[in-house]
Amino acid sequence: MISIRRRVAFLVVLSLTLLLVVGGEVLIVVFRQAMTLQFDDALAARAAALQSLTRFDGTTVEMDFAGEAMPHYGRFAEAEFFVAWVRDGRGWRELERSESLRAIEWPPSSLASDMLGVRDVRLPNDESGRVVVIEFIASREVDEDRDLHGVTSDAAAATGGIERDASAPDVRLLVALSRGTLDHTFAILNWCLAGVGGALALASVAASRWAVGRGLTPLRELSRRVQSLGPDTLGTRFDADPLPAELRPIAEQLNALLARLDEAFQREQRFSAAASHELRTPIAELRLLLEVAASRPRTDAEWSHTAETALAVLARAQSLCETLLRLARSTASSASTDPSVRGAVAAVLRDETDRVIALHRGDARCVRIECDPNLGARVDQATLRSILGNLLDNALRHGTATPDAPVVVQARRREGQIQIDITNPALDIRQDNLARLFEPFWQNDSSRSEQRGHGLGLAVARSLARSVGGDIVARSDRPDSITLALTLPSAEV
Amino acid sequence: MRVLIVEDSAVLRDSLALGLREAGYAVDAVADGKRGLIYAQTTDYDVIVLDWMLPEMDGLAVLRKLREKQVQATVLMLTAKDTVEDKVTGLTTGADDYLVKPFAFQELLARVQSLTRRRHGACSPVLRIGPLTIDTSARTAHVTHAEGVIVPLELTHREYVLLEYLAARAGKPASRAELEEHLYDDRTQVFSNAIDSAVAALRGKLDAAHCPPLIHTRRKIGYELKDGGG
Repeated sequence: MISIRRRVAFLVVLSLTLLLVVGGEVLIVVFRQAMTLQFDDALAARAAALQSLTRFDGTTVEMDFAGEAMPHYGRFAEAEFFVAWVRDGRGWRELERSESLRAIEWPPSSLASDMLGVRDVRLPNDESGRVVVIEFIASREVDEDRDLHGVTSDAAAATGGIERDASAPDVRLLVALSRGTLDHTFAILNWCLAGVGGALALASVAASRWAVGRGLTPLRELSRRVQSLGPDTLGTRFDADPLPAELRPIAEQLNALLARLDEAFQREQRFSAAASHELRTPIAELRLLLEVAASRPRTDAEWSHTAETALAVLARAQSLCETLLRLARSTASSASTDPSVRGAVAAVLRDETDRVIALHRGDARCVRIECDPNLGARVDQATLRSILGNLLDNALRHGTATPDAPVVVQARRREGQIQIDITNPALDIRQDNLARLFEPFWQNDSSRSEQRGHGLGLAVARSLARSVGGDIVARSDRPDSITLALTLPSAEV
Repeated sequence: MRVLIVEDSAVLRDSLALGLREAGYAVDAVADGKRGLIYAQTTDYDVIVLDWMLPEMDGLAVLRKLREKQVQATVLMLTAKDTVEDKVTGLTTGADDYLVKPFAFQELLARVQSLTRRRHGACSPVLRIGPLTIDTSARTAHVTHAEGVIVPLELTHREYVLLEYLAARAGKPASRAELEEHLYDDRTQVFSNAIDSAVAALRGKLDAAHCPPLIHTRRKIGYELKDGGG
């Protein structure tokens, strides 16, 4: 896909070019009309001048045309022509013509009644031109002596010694003018406009590229900063206020995404560091155990003890690796949509309680179960066993349960889900520790003892619960007890 | 020389204690930070091997408390934390050395020996007092005569550690109680004349090697290893 800068610049140049073409065309049309009107005025003035030379003496019409005074109509002239006709009883008869016409007959069609006015025409010399055809009544020449006797008519006074005579014949005058100069002017105008338009279009390419480039500076700056982001700079946040309105939502979304990434990255880093620490411990133990044992001769009993210790360390390391794998698999798996899957909550609770109590060599009265025997969760039996086993193991390992103050397990259906609350008495419950309970390898200081687990049980339980569409949250309603609330999808309709 | 190990892993703690005892150190070992702090404040240890992540009280907090209380023992931090920041934090809090798990026992032993020397202001692993030479790395001692003849000393473990301790603080008298504190750990039952009998045995062996008397009795104080004078 082409860049935004090129795309916007292309559209701007295209728009500007279209505007220039349309604007240029409008300018040409207006200019041509104005020039043509001016040309026609000049043509009309020539016709009026020739009309003023036409006289009627009572019997004949004459035109006082003197070729010397008007050389542009002369024999060698090429651009201007005129013909005058007078109408008598037999029709139109030619009265006068310009010498420039020489012997060429003007087409008689000009004598038709609808030919009056101005129009384009093909001239005798085959050039294009404009022609005006007017028709008038020749004026009678007034005797100026009569004027001295004070009998000058009002009409004569109005026309400066010329008087209209109703009996005078009609005269038709045709004046033609070559359009050569006009068309030449038009051609120059066209070329000028085309040149200027082309130059402006080219200039607009550069101008639009520059302007778009300038306009996209904030986007480029944002892009540069986004490109510089890496695992070490996930704490970066974009200041949205100085950004243009179009980029502000992007910056805000980026900030939210960065915050989530940063949190996930830090969580992963903590997990990796903790996993690395936990995996190094058995390696350090085995290495030291074997190095010290091999540093001098040992008895068979000593070697036997060393081997037993090494095997115990290996068993713990193996268990840690298996738990880590289970955690990874539960994180990757997803909820079952099979409605036939059903885990019997009461039976699994009973079995797991027995197993965990035996594991910790505890008293059976240390756990009290309050559960509807018919509760079913939409979770397969093995997953349910793993979730509840981890929660019960956590309660007995890290709590302070006794037969008098036991771990209480309450399972019931609530709002279409199965809710199982496991409450155990415990010491040193701190609210800020509740959220960290589910972090892999996190262990309360007081729980770090010889009998401590891997610190993965709750992380595995929650990950499994989430993988089947449930969840686990921790809360502490009293300072001396902690409740882990497990919700699971119900198997019943 | 007496060492305290504060380590929550039972396997590491037992192996370290065994290895160091076999190397001639008097060793006490505890599993959590609080007990480690109590031990370190009540006994004058030469070296404390301190894990970072401990139950009850972490190693860094123990270290901070020890330095606040002006405890003079040198401290070797032992941890799986291996970033530069972690090492800097440990050393700036007051640790004298830092060792990342997993480690070779020989390296740990060499570092403990180095810290022991530093504790007593010695730079070289070989101590010389008059004709007597003690190699603390090889844990051997011999007497060199004027004509160049070298007579090695055949010492028991108890005699060697007594000689090394007296040599490490040569010129300064050490009381019987101090000697007992540095040479025996909590597991060893110490009879009231144990130090006196060990000194007598040591004097006998030095005399047999034709070494001039170097161990002097300071009345009502204890013993002092010193070249010449009495």
